[in-house]
Amino acid sequence: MKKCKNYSKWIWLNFYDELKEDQARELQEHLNTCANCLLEFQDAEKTFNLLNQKIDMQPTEKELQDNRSELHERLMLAKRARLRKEGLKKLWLRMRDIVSLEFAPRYRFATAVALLILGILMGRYFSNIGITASPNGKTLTDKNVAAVDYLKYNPSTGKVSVQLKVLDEALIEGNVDDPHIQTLLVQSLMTSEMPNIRLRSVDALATADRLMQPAQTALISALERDENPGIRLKAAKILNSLPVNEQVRDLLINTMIKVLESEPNSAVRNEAIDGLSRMGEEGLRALIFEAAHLDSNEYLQYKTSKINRTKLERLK
Amino acid sequence: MDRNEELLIKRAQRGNIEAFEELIQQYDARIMKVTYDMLNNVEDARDVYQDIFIKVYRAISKFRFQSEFYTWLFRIAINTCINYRKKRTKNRGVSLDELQEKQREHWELTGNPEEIDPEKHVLNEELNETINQGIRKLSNQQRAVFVLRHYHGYKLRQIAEILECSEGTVKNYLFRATKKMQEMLSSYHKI
Repeated sequence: MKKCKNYSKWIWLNFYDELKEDQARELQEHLNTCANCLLEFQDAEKTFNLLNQKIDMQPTEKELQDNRSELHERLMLAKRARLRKEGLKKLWLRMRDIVSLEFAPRYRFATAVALLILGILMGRYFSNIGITASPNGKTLTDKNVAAVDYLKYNPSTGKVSVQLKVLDEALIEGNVDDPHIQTLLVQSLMTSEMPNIRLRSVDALATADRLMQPAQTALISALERDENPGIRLKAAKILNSLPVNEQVRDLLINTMIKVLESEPNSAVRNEAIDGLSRMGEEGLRALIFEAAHLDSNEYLQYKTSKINRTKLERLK
Repeated sequence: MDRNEELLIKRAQRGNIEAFEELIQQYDARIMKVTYDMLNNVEDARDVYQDIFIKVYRAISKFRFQSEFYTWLFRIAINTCINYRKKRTKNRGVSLDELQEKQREHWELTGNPEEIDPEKHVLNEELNETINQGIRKLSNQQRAVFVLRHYHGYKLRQIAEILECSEGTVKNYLFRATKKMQEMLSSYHKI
């Protein structure tokens, strides 16, 4: 027979129905013969009953919904952060592959040093490059450009006029295919606080026969960050009309995914769907379908389901 | 684990937020309630609810189907509550009345409101506060075991799985917790 002290625990386990059958029987037999333990049992029973009187509350439906909505927002942010991290990881792995494949292990250190020196030299070189359009015979660098005041673009002639503040005001004129003019347009698009100047920059860039990579990067940046939906939409349209540039392909895909997930304007989201669809990647198609399936815009839901159906028919 | 839940988990593991939300909505009301019982504060419960499910979302790809999903989920929930309590030893500087007011605003009584006796409810409020005080005095582990067993009906075997300890340890925590609660409620024994 166990000592009385050891039955204390069994008394409580008995209330929670956690005793085996033989243990419950043994406890019962002991309580029939031990007055002290019976008293303890009765005391515990009172406590157990009091604990059961605790007011039972549950969150209201509204409280739950509010929490779920907040969580939804946070999940979208977490997903975006994860995609960004994966993109960077992929880029890093690609770079690592390039370095480790091309060079034997003993040359790797030398390669790293050489790349570092190259990086420093390039940094120096590019930091000296600025806008070199020539107003009144003077060379202009972006170090002395203070602000863009006015920008005019003539679609029939392709002529761009930019009024800007340097040390003193200057008027620069040139063709939109001129790299210097494109650099100025990029600067206007990225830095001007006036939406009409940014919009005209985008309009002008749209008509260039050959768009330089910085201009494409600027358009991608405008698509993601410009506060004006008209500019974001125009940037998306131009990017979709250009052949896919492999050098900015990953950046473009990441930006389009972000747009698809968080852009408030449905027309811009529509362009993002078109942009991602033309990449022809299986994984992206699934992502478009998933994101647009949740889209509040019925047309986008219909459009993506149609893309998916066409794909299935083709597979059949 | 049923087939539907398994499919939802697999879709959530591939990053599908819709599947993840569908999956957790089967449990989130219970998690919210456990969180409240552990923290005894509506505002804290709200914050921790978000932390728990963000953690679950980030970790779901590591779920290997070696335990029930709810066990894994409750483990994260209880650990998050314990860590939160460790970091936040003081309350937010709000009075007990304010806390109760907030709870009444966002929480409701369970069961059919017509069956609740208002007179009995008022009498119970004092007892309720004594019980809450008692729960607040329990250690983190005792509190988790007591809340899960007494107010959420989990068996000791399930709690042992959730807390990743032996059933014997869980029995000890429960025994110590109930003894403390008995001490807290001793004045009510004479009534």
